[in-house]
Amino acid sequence: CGDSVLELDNLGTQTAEVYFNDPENALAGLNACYSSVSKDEYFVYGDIMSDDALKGGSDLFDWVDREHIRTFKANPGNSVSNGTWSLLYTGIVRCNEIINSLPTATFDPELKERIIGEAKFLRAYSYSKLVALFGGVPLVTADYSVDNLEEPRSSEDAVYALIKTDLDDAIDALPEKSRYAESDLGRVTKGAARALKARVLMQETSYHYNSALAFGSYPVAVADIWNEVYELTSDIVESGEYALAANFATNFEIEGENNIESIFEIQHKTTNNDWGESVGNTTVVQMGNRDDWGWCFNLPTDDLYNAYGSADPRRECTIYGEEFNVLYGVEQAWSKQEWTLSHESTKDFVTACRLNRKYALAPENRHGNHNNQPNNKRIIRYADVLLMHAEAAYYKGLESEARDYVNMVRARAEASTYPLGSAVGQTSSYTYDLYPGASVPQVVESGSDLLEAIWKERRLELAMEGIRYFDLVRTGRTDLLPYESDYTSHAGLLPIPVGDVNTFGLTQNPGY
Amino acid sequence: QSRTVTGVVLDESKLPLAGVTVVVKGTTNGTVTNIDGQYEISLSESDQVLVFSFIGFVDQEIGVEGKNNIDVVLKTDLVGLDEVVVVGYGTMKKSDLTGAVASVSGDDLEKVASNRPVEAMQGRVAGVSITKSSGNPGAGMKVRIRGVGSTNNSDPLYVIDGIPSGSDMEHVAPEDIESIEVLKDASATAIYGNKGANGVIIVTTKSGSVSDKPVFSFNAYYGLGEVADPIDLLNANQQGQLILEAAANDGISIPSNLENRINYVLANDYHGTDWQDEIFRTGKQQNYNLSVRGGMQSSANPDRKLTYSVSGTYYDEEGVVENTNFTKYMLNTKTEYQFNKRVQVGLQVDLFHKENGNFPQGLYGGPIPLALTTSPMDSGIDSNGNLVETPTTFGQNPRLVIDHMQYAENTTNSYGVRGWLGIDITDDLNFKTTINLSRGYTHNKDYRPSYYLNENFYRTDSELYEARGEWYSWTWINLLNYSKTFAEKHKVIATLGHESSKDQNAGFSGTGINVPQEEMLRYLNLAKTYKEQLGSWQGEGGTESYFARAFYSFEDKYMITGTARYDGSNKFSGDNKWGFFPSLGASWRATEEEFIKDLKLFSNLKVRAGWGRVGNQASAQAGSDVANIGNYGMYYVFNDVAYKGGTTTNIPTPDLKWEIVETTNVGVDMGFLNGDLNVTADYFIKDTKDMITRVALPGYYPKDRPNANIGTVRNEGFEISANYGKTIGDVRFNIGGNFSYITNEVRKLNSDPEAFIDGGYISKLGNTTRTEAGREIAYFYGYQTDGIFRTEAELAAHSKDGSAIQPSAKVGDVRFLDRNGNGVIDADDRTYLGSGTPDFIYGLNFSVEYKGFDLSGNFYGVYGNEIVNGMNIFALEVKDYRNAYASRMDRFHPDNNPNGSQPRVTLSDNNNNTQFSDRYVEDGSYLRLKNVQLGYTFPKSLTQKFKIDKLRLYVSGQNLLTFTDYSGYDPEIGDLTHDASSDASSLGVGVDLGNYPQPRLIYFGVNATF
Repeated sequence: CGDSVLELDNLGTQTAEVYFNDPENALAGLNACYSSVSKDEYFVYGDIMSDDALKGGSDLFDWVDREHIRTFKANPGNSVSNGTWSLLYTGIVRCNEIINSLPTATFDPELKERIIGEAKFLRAYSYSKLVALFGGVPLVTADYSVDNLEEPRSSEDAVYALIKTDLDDAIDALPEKSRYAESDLGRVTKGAARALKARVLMQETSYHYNSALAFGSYPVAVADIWNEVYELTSDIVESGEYALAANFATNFEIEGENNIESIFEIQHKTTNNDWGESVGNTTVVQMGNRDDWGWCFNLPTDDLYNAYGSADPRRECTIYGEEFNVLYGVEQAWSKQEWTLSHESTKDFVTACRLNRKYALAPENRHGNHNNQPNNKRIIRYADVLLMHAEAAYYKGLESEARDYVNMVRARAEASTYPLGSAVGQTSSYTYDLYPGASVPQVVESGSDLLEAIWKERRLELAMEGIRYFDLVRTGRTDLLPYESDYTSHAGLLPIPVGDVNTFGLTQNPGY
Repeated sequence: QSRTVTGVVLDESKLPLAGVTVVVKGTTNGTVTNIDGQYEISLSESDQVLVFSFIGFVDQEIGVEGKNNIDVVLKTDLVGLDEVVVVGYGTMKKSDLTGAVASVSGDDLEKVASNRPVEAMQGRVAGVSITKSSGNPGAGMKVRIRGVGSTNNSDPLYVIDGIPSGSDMEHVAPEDIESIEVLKDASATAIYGNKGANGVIIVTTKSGSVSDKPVFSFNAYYGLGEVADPIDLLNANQQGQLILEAAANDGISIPSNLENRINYVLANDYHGTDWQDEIFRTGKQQNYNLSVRGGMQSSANPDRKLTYSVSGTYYDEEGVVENTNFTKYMLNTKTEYQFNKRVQVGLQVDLFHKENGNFPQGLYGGPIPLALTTSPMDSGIDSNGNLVETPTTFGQNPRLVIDHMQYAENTTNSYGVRGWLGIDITDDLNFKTTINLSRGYTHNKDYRPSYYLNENFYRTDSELYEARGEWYSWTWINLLNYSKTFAEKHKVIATLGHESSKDQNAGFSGTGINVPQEEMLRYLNLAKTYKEQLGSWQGEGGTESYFARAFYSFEDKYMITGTARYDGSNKFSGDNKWGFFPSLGASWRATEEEFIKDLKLFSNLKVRAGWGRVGNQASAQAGSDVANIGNYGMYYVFNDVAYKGGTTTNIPTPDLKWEIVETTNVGVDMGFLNGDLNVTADYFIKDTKDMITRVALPGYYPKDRPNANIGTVRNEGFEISANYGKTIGDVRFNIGGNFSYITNEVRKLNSDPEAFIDGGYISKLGNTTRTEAGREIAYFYGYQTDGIFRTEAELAAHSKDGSAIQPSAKVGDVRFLDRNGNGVIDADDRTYLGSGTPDFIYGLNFSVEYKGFDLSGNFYGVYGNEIVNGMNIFALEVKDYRNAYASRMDRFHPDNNPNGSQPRVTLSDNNNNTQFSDRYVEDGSYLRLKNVQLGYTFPKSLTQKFKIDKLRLYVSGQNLLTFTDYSGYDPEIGDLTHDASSDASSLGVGVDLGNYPQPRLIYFGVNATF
């Protein structure tokens, strides 16, 4: 019986090549990639590290690692930066497996190409976050073996080169939104790949405009970049796939999921199952009101509040709090974040308790478990594309075109309403109440004032969507960061996780 | 013409000996003594001499001429030279051994009340470190024979009644054990080839013997236990003071509701909850064993006989932590039938059942860490007795964790059937074939009720997790044994064997949601909904082996043994499947030489030397050349429908091969004073090569850590054991001791001399151990501290080139050593802080018998090891408003307590006082009176009136005394296995994360035979 007991099958296991050589498994592999990306809590760095928001929570020590990110006092064991690193790489490693295994797969070539395109989009997305937060990171593209674990850090330009190649491939491979089957709603599209590439290219200009990042001596051809951003955003506009939603206020409600304005959003829903199968939004509870339902993280600052004029309906659609006190018809109390008004670390930033209205949930949509909430995370909206186009047009000297694009966004703002359920008592049949006296006048500036106006418009339109920190960094406006000198002394980067420095010899970032 | 001789056989204590063989010399005519030591034998005219023999006693020959009654007192054979010991696939006379083998008799095991036979061996065998891995009821034993040879699996192989049975023997009742042999060096273990690398423990269970009536034995004990040393924690008043002081030190405010609570506590000098009282209780252990053994012999043909043994055991334990329970039932039967002089068959059937709960471990979920860290200001209960949140400390309510533990039930049922056939083909040649089948079923049920404490701690919908598994295995062993002595000088024993085995396991699990809480309704079919995902597991393993052993001795003076095994395993692929494991051993019985005899010093002197090579496959998993597909947490939504994800979870490692252990052993056995004093000493070198280790993966390659053959480890040591026993008048005493000095050194890791593996991960603290060439496995690696800064001047002096080395430090903070002198405290300043590997281990055991009384005990000690007290991550600081040790009151304060021995208190800990440093590392040496027992055997004249042959009552104590400086509950800890999910446990040796302490126990017991 010699061979029979020694040549047993390895039950329930497969090689990646075998597993992925099946369209359903390949799609499952892709789901795993989307799933990683969906868990990224981008608001922590996108908002909290900027001048738009404070960390919040029940006191300073509640999730204090987030405060350390904001103040650039994180140590290399910081759970937020380490978690982000590991999560983004988890997505990358999963994408790599698809990108590397599928070319030899034997099923429907059209589907195969699309899946590879989606994986390349998601890999580029992950790398674009990593390079902005950690600098030149190890460029992992191969499936590793035990003998080949070490990968030194790459240069920033090598990371950007990969991202751009991946996105070019994705643009070629992916269909437009309207060409997908209805059951595929939520997949990344040609438009999303173009928009992400435009965003990444603009992020790349940070090495030109931001002196704190100049240590990398990474020369960037800004004129070429603005040309390409202009082309990419024009392609999106001309595709006819997208438009601004008529009312800004509808964008973040559940009814606004995957609306006409949506270019890329992370899909979430409440399921029966809380843990391993959870596809719920895990961040909306964090941004809820502790006196009502939530943990009160990510608190809008005075600076953001005051940036809106009193006649811009987007203010109430972005911020609720002591000044605008109603959420889905219920008057809110604010005792649990009062500490921020007196605490040394926060009192200079806020004089009123406030929260993010964009990710508030109506009581009837809330689920008992914090990781099982509905409402998609809007990652790229058409309004952003219009404003990117305006900025590119400005740099190309097309000022009137730039103004036109900004004014499309402003006109929509003026035509908008209060958020859903803005009157007390409106609890079962919410309405979008008219915003009397709404006034968001057209921009008329030119020259550098126009650029300032575009930037300001980005802040007002995209506030609390995890974009502000990256906008400040890429435009070199680091003086607006709450802890500018710490930002500069750390070269604008978070710490590389301590294990990868100690065990795998990665160079640590400055100041850690 | 025949006649009859009768008589009684007694031991030196004048107690009857049952089962003594009485044979007419030179014939096959014989009998055995009954339970009263009596025998009766028919003699023919020509018969001259009777031979009385019994294992452990010196044979006696007595002439029969003119006698009708012969009473005999057998002398204990302390030398044990003629003792037969069990070795791999056979038995040998102890005097013939060439390898390092130690024996423990069933009598020794009886002296320790434990449901784990191995526990009774603690401190009795040189070179064997035995540790109870936890006080959790049903927890296993950690056995390390001659050190830790590998960072992966260092458990020895258990061979039960000849069948290699994996790494456990929990289904064997201690009362059923005849003897245990420990094979320590490779010349003894190489016959087990691929499974023998970590040593072999051979267990032989009791058989029946021919007797005129069945012999019933009843053994029972009942014990009560408690946590020996509760930890001294801050009370509410003290914690309140420290929190306020810490906030003041940091210049920050604390939440107003907490401030109000503290002020209330201080005003009323409120001491609050000692959470240890809420989770600990008095533990109970009870054990009942009833057996009947006996046998029948055909009067027509004495070679035809049947022996039987049936034993049933019930064990029940309630642990010292609330809601930790363990129950097991065992039924073991063994029947042997000898048809005639040449053919024997046997059948053994074992049934096993156990039930236990779940004991949550881990720093954040385990009841013990929670009890040590939850604020004494919190009670976790309202005035109506409802469980509520713990408002001061962010964490789960310990009462709730304890309460919910009652809903977990894990059940295992298994049976084993073993049959064998032995044929003496000729007088010298024997063939034996054995088949063993075993099958087991597991059923785990974990109900998680819904509850709500606050917005962070709640479960909206109850869940019922249920898993069912089964396993099946068979082993088939064929042995051909040849044994002959030529010309009364040349003894030859040769064994040829083949072994084949296969095992399978499979199971599935599912979870129901919203299941009623009533016990009779707690079933999956009553769930309102289900988790979509069902889990399954499945696997197969197989081995195929050929082996041979040859033994030759010349004049009982010079002995040589050689073994070889050729072994295949399905865990490896291609050319790596097969391994060859040879060994060679030789010994010289010097006492057989005239010139040694003339010295009149030694009653026994034997010198042994051996070399061998053994494999280790336990750490490898089948299918290393492919990947597992995982889908946990990988779902995603399209068009409002959730879809399953799937990806590989590990890196394939097709080149994996055997881990090899090579041992060289030199030993000497010495007897003095007519055999009253015996000493055995061994020196060994044990090299592990191609060690299989889970290699660390970088954070940028997040997958399960893969196995690889990297590294060489050397364990080198010296072990000595001595035993002195004597009978003086009515007093019989015995005292034994052993000492083992073992060094452990990783000689190579990978080809890269700088390579290392970090392990012993503790969340929020990081890795605590490092394994690299030149050091012992998993030494503690962290920062060195040098007291605290007591003045601004000291703080200022801690600088380099005018800039502070610890810029965030304030007076009262910990001073870390800038070992590399680069002016900052960074990862390169970490260094060796000790390790969990002891310098030596030692044991001492004694027994005294006087008339009916007996007293015995054993000490077990380890010296020179360190323990990482992982609980210090909380207990050294009041951070996060967690509770701390009472010793924290002696904190430095410039005004109130400038001589304080502890750093200042701080909430923000900007100086990182609590990072992993020598502040966590404590001396782990201990000496423990593991067991002591006082018994009284009633005079037979009294008990016989009640038809009881033997009645002994005893009282016994376990862990009564422990001498240690360790500040945690218990210095006897297993390896860190939780909070280290992907680490091999050996990389966490000596790391304590609030281990379940072993209780101090008092037992009352009875042994009766009738």
